[in-house]
Amino acid sequence: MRRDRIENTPPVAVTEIDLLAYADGLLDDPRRLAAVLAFLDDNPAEAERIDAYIEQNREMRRLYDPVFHEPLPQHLLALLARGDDHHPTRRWLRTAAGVAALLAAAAAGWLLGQEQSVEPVATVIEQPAATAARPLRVAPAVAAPAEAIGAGRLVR
Amino acid sequence: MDAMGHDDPPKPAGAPDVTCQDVTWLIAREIPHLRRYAAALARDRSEADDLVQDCLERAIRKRHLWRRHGSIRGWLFRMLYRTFVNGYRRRVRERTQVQIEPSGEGIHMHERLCEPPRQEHHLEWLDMADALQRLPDRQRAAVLLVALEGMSYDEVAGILDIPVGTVRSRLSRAREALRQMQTRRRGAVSLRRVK
Repeated sequence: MRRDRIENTPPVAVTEIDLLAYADGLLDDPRRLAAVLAFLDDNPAEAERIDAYIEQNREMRRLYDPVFHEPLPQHLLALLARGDDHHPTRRWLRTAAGVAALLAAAAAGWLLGQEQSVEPVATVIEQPAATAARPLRVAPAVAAPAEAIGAGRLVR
Repeated sequence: MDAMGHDDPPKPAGAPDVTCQDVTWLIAREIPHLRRYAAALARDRSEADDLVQDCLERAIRKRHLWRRHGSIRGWLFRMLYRTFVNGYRRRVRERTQVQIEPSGEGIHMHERLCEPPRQEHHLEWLDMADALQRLPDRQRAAVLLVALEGMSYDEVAGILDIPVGTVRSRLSRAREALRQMQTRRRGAVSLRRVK
C-alpha cells in the first residue's frame, strides 16, 4: 500500500467494505472515494477484481431487468383488489353489517307486527262517538294479538 | 356540540380503510421490484411467482401493521426473504424425506438442491444465472439486493435481519465466488473454441 504517493489524500485506511461499496456505487464519502481510487491505482490486481464486481452488477441487471419491465400478471393485481375482503377491519365491518342487517330485519318485523296491531287501534280511536274514557280501556288490547282486538271492539 | 366538530383536524369516519388503500397502492408499486428479485433468488420462475404471491398475500393481510417503520420496500423484501427461507426449509425437509441419505449437512444439502449446469446458448447470461444458483442462498440473497435494487448495506442488513458486518462478509464471499466461477467458465469456453 503506497498511498504516500498521493500527498493530498488524507490517510484513510481502505478496507474491504470500502472496495465493495465502491463497486456497488455506494461510496459517497469523498475522502474514502479518493482513498479507494488511489488504492486501486496502486493495486492493479485489486482494480481488476473490483472491475469484475462492477461487471457482475451490470450482468445481474441485464439478466433480470426484463422481469422488472414485464406487465404485471393479472392474478397479482386481482389479489390486491381482493385484499380489501381479507382485511381484519373489513371482516369486522362485514360482521357488523351482518349484525346491523339482522337488527334492521328484526326491527322491520317488529314494526310490521306493530302496524298490524296499531291499525285497528287507530280505527278505534277514530271512532268519533267514543267518549274520552273509552280509549284508555281499549289500550290493553293494543299489545295483544289481532283476535284480542276484536274483543277490544266488543268492549265498545 | 356544534363548536366541537370544527376544532379537530379532518379525520373521516372511514380513515383506517383509506390508509389501507394507500398502503395497497404503495405495495402495488413495489411488485416489479419484488418480481425481479424473486426471479433471481428462486430456482425457477414458478417458484419465483409463488414467492411473490405468498409475499403479497401476507403483505395485504398485515398491511395495517405497517407503521411506516422504514420503507415499504424494505418491509416487503423482508417478508419475501422470510417466505423464501421458510420455503427452502420446507423443500429440504421434503427432499430428505424422499431421499434417505444420511450425509445431510447444510452445504451438501444445498449442493444437491442445485440445478445441473444448463446448456451454453445465450452464453454470458446463463453463465451468471448458473453462477448465482450455485451460491449459497444467503449469499445470493444479499448480493442480489445490492446488485438489483441498489440497496445500501444497512438496508440489506435490515431485510436479512443480520448485522452489517455479516452483510459485508456475505457480499465479499459471494462476489469472489461469482468471479471464480465466471473466470473458470470463460476459460473453459475459450478452450472449447480453440479446439
